[in-house]
Amino acid sequence: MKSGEFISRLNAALAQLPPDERSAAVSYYEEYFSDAADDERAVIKLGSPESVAETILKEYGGATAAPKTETPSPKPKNKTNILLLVLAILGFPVWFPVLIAVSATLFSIVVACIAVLAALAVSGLGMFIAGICLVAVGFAAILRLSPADGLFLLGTGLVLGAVGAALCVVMFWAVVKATPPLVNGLVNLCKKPFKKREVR
Amino acid sequence: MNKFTKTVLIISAIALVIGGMLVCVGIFNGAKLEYSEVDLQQLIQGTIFSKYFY
Repeated sequence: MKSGEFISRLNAALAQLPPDERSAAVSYYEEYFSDAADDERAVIKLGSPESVAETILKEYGGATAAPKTETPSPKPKNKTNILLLVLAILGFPVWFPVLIAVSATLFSIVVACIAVLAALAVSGLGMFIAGICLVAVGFAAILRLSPADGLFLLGTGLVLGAVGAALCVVMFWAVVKATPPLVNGLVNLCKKPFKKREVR
Repeated sequence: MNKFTKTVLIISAIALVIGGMLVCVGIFNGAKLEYSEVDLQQLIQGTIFSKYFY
C-alpha cells in the first residue's frame, strides 16, 4: 500500500470526526510520510489505516469506530421512560388502589389458607383431648354403669382420640410444609414486575 | 413426613380399629346411647375429674 491510498482510507475512516480535527490528523500523517525515506515501509510500520483511525477516535473522545449505531438508542428510551413516568403519575389514583386491592386479596388468600390448616390442627387437638377424657370416663363407666356402656365409651374415646391425633399431626405438618412455599410464592409474585424491568 | 408424624399416624390407625371394635362390642351388648343426668353424675364421680367438679 502506498501513502496516498493510506491517507484516503484514513480520511474515510475518520468521517465522523469534525472537519478541523480530521484535517489536522490527516495532515499529521501526510507530514509523517513526507519525512519518511521509504513510503511502503512507513505504511507497514503504522499498520492499517482503520486501526490508526480507531486509535485517533478513541483519543478524541472515547468514541468507537461505529458509534452511530449506539448513540441514537438512548433518546427513544428516555422518551419512553418519561412517557411512562407521566402516565404513572396521572394514573396514580387508578392504579394505586387497584394495586393495594390486588395485593391485599392475595395476602388474605395466603393467610386464609394457613388459617384453615391451623384451625383444623387445633380442632384435631381438641378432639384428641376429648378422646382422652372419654377413655377415662369409659373406664369409670365399666365400674359404675355396665361393662357394655364402658366399652362403648372407651371405644368412642379411642376413635375420637385417634382421629384427633391424626388430624392434629397431619395439619400441623401441612402448615409447616405449606407456609414457606405460599409466602415465597407471594413474595415472588410481588417481585415479578421489577424483575421484568431489570431484564429489559 | 417425618418419623414422629408417621408413628402417630400408625398408632392412630391402630387405636381407630380397636376403638371401632369396642364401640361395636358395646352396642351389641346393650350399651346405652343416651345418658341421663344421673348417669353422667355417676360417670364423673368415677373419674379423676370428680376431684375438681365435686
